[in-house]
Amino acid sequence: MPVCPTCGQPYILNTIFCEQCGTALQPLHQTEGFASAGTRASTGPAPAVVLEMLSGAHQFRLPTDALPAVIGRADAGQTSRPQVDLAPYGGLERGVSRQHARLLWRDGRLMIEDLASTNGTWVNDVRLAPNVPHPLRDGDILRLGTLRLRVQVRAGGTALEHHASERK
Amino acid sequence: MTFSAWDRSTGERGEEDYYRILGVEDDASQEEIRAAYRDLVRQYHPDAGLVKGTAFLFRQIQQAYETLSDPQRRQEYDERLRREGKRPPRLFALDVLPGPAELACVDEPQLLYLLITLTPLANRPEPDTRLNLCLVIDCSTSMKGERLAAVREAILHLVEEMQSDDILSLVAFSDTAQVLLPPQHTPPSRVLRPLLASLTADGGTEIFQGLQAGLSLVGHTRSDHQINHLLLLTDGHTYGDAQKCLLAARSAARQDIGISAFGVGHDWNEDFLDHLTAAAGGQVVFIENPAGIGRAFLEHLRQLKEAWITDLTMRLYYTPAARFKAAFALTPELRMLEEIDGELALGSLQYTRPRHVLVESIVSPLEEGTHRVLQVEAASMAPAYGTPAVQRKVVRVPFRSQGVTRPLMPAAIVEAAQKVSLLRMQKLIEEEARQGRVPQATTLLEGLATRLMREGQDELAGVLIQEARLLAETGRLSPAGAKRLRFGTRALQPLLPGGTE
Repeated sequence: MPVCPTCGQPYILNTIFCEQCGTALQPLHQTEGFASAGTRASTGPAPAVVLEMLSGAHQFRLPTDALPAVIGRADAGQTSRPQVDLAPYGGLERGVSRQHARLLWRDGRLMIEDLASTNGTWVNDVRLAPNVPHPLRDGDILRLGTLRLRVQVRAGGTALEHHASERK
Repeated sequence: MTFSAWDRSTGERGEEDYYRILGVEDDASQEEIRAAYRDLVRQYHPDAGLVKGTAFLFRQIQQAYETLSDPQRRQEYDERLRREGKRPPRLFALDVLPGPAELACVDEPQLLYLLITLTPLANRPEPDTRLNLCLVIDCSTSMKGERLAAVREAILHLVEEMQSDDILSLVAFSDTAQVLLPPQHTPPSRVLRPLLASLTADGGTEIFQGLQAGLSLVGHTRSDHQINHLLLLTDGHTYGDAQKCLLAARSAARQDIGISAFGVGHDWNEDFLDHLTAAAGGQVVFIENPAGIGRAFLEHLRQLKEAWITDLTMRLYYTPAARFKAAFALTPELRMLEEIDGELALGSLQYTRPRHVLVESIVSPLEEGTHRVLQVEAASMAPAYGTPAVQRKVVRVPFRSQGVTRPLMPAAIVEAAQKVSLLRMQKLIEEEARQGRVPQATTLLEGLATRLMREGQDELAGVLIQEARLLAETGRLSPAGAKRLRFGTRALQPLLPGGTE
């Protein structure tokens, strides 16, 4: 049996967190969800993801250390609001679920995971299986319901810094 | 603590429930039926010798397959089930997401997580469900003054929100129990006001007295078409009768009577109330300030009225290659589930939102190929129909000898496991503090606070840092601190997918 690197407690293979001390037992980048927990080695400005609405109405810019980020639409009855809120851009009419998909940064790659949405998530017109992360590349077209977004991945500290204020 | 192996061949439909034997849904396709049959043959064929004493089960599997794989015979079988009223309506959906998505062929056991989602399949119950509610109120000396006054007001508000054909009864207890209002259609507040005014606080807290009286009232008027529920409000410890209370709660659970408990102030026993309510999957509500009683009552009433199905239980049937490790309810509260009589009690399912459960299982090494690991079965009562409803899912996991370098975990499972790990830390802190290991408990408490801070739970983190300081000074968790820690952790909600949209 492997043991926890922090406290030495043995654990069963595939365990995500040590039962004794709560240490993440999988390297953090492969389990995702902790990039914002201050554990990411910082080497200059983080790379960024830009989601551009094909209708040209808006751009969302997300530094990768702000991932994972949920894409969806805010709803009056809901307490938590998705980081990328498509409600003001016709999310409801276009079939975007409240928690539709999420962007992850895993193994140095951008991934998208459909959160069992009602109307599905599509990458370049291929529908994704729910709850299975799928890699995203620069230039891919992402479709949530019928709402389409162009994906751009920018290296850290380079282009598009002037979009930093785009996201409200 | 283990769940039963694949040993139950008969189900709620009697001797020969073919769907259950094969572990498929009532609307399974021919391919699903064939796949299920192949899986079972591989594991239970007497010649395989994997499990002893399987000859009888194997014959049943054969019989089930022969019937269900033949469209004509299957139709006749379905007709018979319908005629005999053994075809429960489909009232909720059961979804099971395994993680990792595939396991490696290695020579040691592996952990398999299952994120189980139960989604109600309706916007609201038709017809409306009626309540059969008993309020059991602690009137011991410590309730005097502000607390009892708040309870009186809270009950009057509650009654205004109830419907006239809901059934209400009231019990007051201290050393003995007194039936204040026998079960009847909800009376108007002008009738209740003088009754409540006569309540006085005096004596000890003998919870069994109140519980027994309350359960007998609810039992008297119980029906499958109602939500039968007892709400206990207390501010103190009970002495010597805890065991009797737990037995009474279990027998109530078997009659589909739910119990929830409201603890007021800091001087009640959270372990006891947790056990008391666990039997029927009820909740414990921590009310620090009496002013919060009214709101807590109304919130609870809303939840009860939204109950689409009650008495939701889950059973896990493992193949010989796997076993149960632990299970946690993720919503509406983060809570470890206790296995009682081979079942996990989940309480009710509201028609407004899904329920989520995380199950951890240990899987033994298996050869390359896709293997059936367990069957998940969820059953419940549906008061709107007065019938039980059952759903089941078989979990199959691929094993690969090459190419699995790291577990592929769905993000939702990581999220759920992260919250569960906070809950485990909380339990460990309680245990270390109970054992008097103050430095260990303090360090863990600070560690938990740090993790909460990182997750943006600043308020709870702040409370826990204060409690860590107190713990280091006084050498124990204060009654207030223990409750803030436990109920604060319980309120943490993972961000989970799914739901009714």
